[in-house]
Amino acid sequence: MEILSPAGNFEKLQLAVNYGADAVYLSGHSYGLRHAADNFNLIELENAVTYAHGRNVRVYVTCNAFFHDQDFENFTDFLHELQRFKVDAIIASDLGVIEEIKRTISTPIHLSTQASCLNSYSAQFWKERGVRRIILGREASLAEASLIKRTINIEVEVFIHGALCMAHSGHCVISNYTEGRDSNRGGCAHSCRFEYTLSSEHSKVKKTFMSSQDLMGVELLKTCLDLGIDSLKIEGRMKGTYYLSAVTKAYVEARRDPTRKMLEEQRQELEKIDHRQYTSGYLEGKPTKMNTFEEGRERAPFTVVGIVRDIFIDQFILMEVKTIFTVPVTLEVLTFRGGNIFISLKVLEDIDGDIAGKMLIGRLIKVPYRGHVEKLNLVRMSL
Amino acid sequence: MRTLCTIHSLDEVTELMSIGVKEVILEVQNLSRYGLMTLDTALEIFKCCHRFHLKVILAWDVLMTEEQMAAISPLIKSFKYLKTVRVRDLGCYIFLRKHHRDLEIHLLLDHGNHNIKAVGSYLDVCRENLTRIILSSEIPINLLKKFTDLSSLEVEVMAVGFLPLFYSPRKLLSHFSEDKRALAFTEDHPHRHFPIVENEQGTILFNSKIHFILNFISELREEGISHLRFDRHSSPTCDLAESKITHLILKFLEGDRSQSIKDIEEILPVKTHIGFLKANKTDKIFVKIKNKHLSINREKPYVGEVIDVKKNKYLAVLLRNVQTSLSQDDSIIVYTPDGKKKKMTIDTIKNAAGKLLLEAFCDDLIFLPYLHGISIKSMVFIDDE
Repeated sequence: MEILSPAGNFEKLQLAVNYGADAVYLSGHSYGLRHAADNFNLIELENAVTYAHGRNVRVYVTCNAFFHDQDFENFTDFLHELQRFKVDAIIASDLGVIEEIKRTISTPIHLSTQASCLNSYSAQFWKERGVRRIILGREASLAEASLIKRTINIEVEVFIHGALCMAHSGHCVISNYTEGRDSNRGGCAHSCRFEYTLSSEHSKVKKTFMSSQDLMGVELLKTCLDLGIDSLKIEGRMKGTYYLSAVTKAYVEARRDPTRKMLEEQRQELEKIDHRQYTSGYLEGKPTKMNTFEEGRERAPFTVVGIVRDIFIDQFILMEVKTIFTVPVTLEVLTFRGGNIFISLKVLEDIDGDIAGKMLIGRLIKVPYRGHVEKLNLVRMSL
Repeated sequence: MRTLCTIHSLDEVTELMSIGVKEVILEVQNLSRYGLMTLDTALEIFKCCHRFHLKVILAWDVLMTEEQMAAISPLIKSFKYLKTVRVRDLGCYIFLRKHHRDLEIHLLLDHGNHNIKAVGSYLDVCRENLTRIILSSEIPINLLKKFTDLSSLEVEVMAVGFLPLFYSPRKLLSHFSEDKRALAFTEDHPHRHFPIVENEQGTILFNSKIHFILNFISELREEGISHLRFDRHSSPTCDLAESKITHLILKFLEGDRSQSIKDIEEILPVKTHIGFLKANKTDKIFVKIKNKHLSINREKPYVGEVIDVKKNKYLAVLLRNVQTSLSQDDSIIVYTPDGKKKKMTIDTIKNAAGKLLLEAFCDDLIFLPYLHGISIKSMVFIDDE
C-alpha cells in the first residue's frame, strides 16, 4: 500500500521523499487545480522526477482541471515532456483530457477524485477508457473502495488525510460566479470556508456550514491494509513543510507497524500540527454532525524553527532558521524514521563562530550535536 | 426548438399541457439531487402524464455510492412504461445500459465538459441508447455550434432557473435549523442571499440570481440547441413554480410573444443574469502573485538558491538541481528577487567547516565568496556563455 504525498514545490518534494512517501503528486504551472501553489515549470519538473526516481519514489503529475478548448493549446507538447521525464502517471478527470493523453503518450492515467467516481459501474466505465487507477470520490467508504477494487480489478486510491471539500469534488462553482475564478481550473476561492448567516423561516444563525473538518484516517491504517487499498493520499500541496513532513512520517510509521499502540502514537503526532477538528469523513461510512462541521482550528503546540542543511559528524549540524527563537531552548529533530531527537541549545552561533542574541529567519546557525541527524530533517520546538 | 420543464405536483400535469409543454422532468427524492417528492407521489404524476401522453424524463442525477446502487433497479422498474432517464453519474449510464436496455438515456454533461474533445468522447463511447446531451451553462453561446455539430443527437441547455453552485451529499441545514430552506450570506464577500435547499440527497446551494437567457432564443436555435429547459425549482426568494411565473416563461419559450422579456423579468422577485453565455474568462482574473525574477524558466542551467548572506563574508548557496554540479572556476549568474543580475567567477567553494571543495552537487550547502547586492532567495545559474 502506497503512501502518496503532495509536493507543492521542490523542497516539499524533497521532504516528502525523505520522510518516506512512496510517491508524490505535483503539478506543472498549468492544467492542475492549485494555481496558488508554487508548482513546477518544465525544468523543475524534470529535476523533481530525477530526484524522486533516484530514491525509488514515483511521481504523478496532475492535469485534473476541467479544460476549456483553449487549454489544449501546447498540451501535447507538455505531455511529450512528461513522457520524456518518465513521470509515473498523469492524474486527470476530464474525458477529453484522458483521450488526449492516450492519443499522445503511453504514460499511465489515474482518474482524479474530481470525476467523483463512487461505484463499480462508474469504475468500469473509466477502466474501459484506459484508466489504470481510480482516485475515488471522498464520499466512498473504505469498504466500498475495496469492493470496487475487487469487482472491477482496478487500483484504488483514497484520500486519507487533509482538508475536505464539503461538496462533491468538481461540483462546486461558487468561485466561478462570485469571483470570476474557475474553481475547476485552479482558482477556488474557498468560499466554503467563510462564515455565513443562515436565515430561514424559524431561525437566523451564523455558521461555517459548508466548511468541513479535516480528514484523518491514521487509526484506520490496518483496515486499509486488510482491505487491499492500493494508495493512501495525503492532501495539501499548498500546505507548509511541517505539515507535509509530519503527516507523511505519521502514515509511513503507522503502515510499518499498524498495531493499536503505534496508530495511537501517530494519531497523537498528528495532533501536533495545525488543523481543523479531525474526522474520518466517509471512510467508515456516512459521517454524523459531530464529525462534519468545522468549529475553529486547533493550533499546534509546536512550531518549526529550522531545517537541517548540513551535518558535520561529531561536531555540529547546520540549521537554516525558519522562525525567530531565543535560547536556551530544547529543539526536537523530526527524524525521517523512528523516535525524534532532542537537543538542548544554549548559544546561537553562526558558522563563523559569531554569537547573536537572536537570528533572523533564513540565517544559518551551528547546533552542536553528536548523533544521527540527517540533512533535511525538520526541527521544531514546543510553544 | 422544444421546451421542457420540471414538474412538481399532480395538478401541474394539465396546466403544463395547456401551455404546450410536451415533456417534463420528474425529480424523485430517491434519485434526484433536487428531488423533494416521494416515490408514491412521483408514480402518481407519472401515471397521469402517461395517460395524457405527456413525455416524462426521470431524473437520476445524484452521484451514487456502491451501497446506494444496489437498491435502484426495483425503483426504476416501478415506473412502468418509462421511456427516458437522464443521468449524470457515468456508473448510472453503464447500469442502465446493462440492466434496462430499453430505456433512452439523456446524459447530463453540465458540470465540466467545457471542451469539444470531452463532449465528443462521451458521444463516441456512450452511443448506445443515448438520445440527448445536456450542456453546461458555462459554455459561451459563440462556442455552442462546435458542440452541437458533434452529432445529430438532441442538445439541451437551461434557459431559466436557479443554477446550482454547490452540491453536497451531506445535510448541512438541519443540524442548525428545523428548516430545510434558507438564505446564506456573508458581510465581507460578494456572497449574498444564496438560496439553499436540503433534501433526502443532501444540500444544494443555488446562485442568488436567476439564470435567464430568453433574450437569446433565436441565437441558441441557430447554434443548434434543440431543447430549452425551465428549471422550476423554488427558493426562499422566488417560487419559480408559481403559476403566473410558470405561464409567462413557458408561453414565451413556446413562441408566444404577447408578453415581453421585460414583463417577465418584472414579475420575478430576484434579479436575473446570463452567466457566462457571452464570454467565459474565469481563467483570466486569477493572476498568480509570483515573483517573475525568481523563475528558473531560463536558458541557463539552474544551480540552486542563496539561503544565507553574511556581509563581506559569504553567500550560502543550497544546490537544488540534480543534473547540474558546481565547480571551482565556474562562472555563475545570480538573479536577485528584485530583478538585479550579478555575474561572478567562483574562486573558492567551501563547506560549512571551511573545507575547500572542487565540486558540489544537489543538496550540498556551499559557501561562496561574498558578492555585494546579493540577497537571500537569489537564484544561481551557470553562466555558460
